[in-house]
Amino acid sequence: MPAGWTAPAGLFLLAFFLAPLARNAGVSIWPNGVAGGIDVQPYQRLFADPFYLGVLGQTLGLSFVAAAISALIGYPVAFFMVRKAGRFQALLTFLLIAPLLTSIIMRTYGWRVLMSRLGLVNALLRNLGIIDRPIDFLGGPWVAVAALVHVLVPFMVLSIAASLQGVDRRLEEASRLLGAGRVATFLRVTLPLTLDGVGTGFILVFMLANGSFVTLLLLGGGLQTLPLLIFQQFNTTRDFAFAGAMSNVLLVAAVLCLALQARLIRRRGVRA
Amino acid sequence: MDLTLDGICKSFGAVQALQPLHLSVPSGSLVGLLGPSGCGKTTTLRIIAGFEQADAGRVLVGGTDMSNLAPNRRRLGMVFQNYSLFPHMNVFDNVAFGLRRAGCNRAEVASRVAQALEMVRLSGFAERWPSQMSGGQQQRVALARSIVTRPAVLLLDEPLGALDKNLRESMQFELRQLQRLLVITTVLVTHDQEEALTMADQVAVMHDGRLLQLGAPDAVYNRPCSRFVAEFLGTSNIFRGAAVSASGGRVAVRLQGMDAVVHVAGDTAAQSAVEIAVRPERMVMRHPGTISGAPGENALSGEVTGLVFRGSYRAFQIRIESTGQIVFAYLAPQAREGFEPEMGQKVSLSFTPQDAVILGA
Repeated sequence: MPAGWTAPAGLFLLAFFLAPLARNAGVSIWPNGVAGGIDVQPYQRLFADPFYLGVLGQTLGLSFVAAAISALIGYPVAFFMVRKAGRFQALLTFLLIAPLLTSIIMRTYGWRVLMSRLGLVNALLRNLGIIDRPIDFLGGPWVAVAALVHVLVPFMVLSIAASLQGVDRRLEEASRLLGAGRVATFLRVTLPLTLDGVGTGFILVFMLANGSFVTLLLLGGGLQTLPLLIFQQFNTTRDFAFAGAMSNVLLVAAVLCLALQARLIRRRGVRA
Repeated sequence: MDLTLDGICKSFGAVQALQPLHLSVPSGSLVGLLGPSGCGKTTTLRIIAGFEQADAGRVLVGGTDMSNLAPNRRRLGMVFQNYSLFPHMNVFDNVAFGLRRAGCNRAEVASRVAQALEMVRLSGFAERWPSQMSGGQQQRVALARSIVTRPAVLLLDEPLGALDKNLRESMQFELRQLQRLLVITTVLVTHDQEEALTMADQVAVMHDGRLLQLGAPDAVYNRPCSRFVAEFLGTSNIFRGAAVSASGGRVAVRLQGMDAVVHVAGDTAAQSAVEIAVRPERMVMRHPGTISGAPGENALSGEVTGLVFRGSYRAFQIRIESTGQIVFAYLAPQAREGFEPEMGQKVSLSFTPQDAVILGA
């Protein structure tokens, strides 16, 4: 393909992706304009202040938990899809992706409606006599985690399914004949051979959860994460330099994840 | 330990993949299941391994019924066509896999893996990864992995199918030697007739889920019981005719275009329709003038319509004058006795009564 064909896409990315990123990076290191000289104070504040460090930790921790739960839920689903679903596999894939097709606002409000003080879950628990006063689900981060897993688990399932599809069943048969039962065969053959899929899915979910904003804003129960903080810096504090610094940190985290993912995929290519 | 298949059969939906099959493999011997794809040989192997459940019948190893045991409890070894080495383990861990599952301690694992690798001449390869090895080496690792646990029965599923021809030939000998050395009861599944004939003590020819013939390689090759066996194992010239009389092991057969005499081992009644088979390398070719017409000479005259040089012999294609049938004759230099017919030349073909076989219906 002639190099010229990539020009439209290249120009588009330059104008709407690279230029804003460059400006953002510029704002964060020249807080007082280029004439004011380089100042890394925004970054210093982010990494030195225990509050901001805590927010960074919470952001990464929340994403980690969401990714881990997605892996635990996603693996059995992927296994069922690849090994047992047969001709229903396409239908299952569609059902899995369906949540992604609804608007994020709708989905998030849906969770609020379900989990609020006067919501469906509380009403149900009360009518069943399990509780006598409503539980404040939305006061903590767990509804946000549930909502993140809800929307991100398809990425996990699809990436595990792809790697599970590539596992030669005869390897499992060989393992069985060598004296390994079903569980040992899964733990020593199937799971290790699909760890790259789990890793890819994990990184994907982790990355997407890191950047999620609306879910945390509406369901976070007061949990502070970087995207929320960036929003505040822009809208309330109007400290563009600090907001820029935080978004750059988030960006670097995402790039690191992508690099890790690329490594995982390359390794699979060598081994297979 | 001996292996017995007691009437196992299997259907997949409406397809009868395996008719009730009875087969016993004496302890320490190697049986080759031979047949085209879809003949049921792989299904048989998978039933022995426990990957498929037979609809009826039993699998006995050393007299014990294994039919309801999980594959991991059957004490079997298996070599797969594509080797099926664990790609995430090095050679040592691959071979050690079965020993570790059996709970052997570290020292025993190490010494037995070393011993198995030495047997397949791969000492010093323990730290390699399967992806760094050639097909032949991977095949030997797979073999080491399957024998290191001292299985009761070894299953070989097209074990040499993925290797090139020269390597395949030397591996045939190597595998056979090892199998004899370890005195291990073995079932070999293959569609390669040469492989089965070379390696097996007994060849079982299968077709359409049925066992057609079981016997020593030379017996099956020389005395095929049916047209399918005669044609699947090498090439055969098939002549149709009627058995007109039989006495004392000699059957007079009236073929289209000639009267022939054929030797049989037992008694055969006169039949209206029979087929006889003669191997191309058993054909004798002479100058057309040398036919005497004596009974038992079994001579036909024809014309050379094709000839090919095949290294150790020359393959002739001859059209029989009276019937137009195409017949093959493979003649080694010494068998041609200086007679080198060319394309279009008239020749006479004959075969002895001992070299022809009457095929069952």
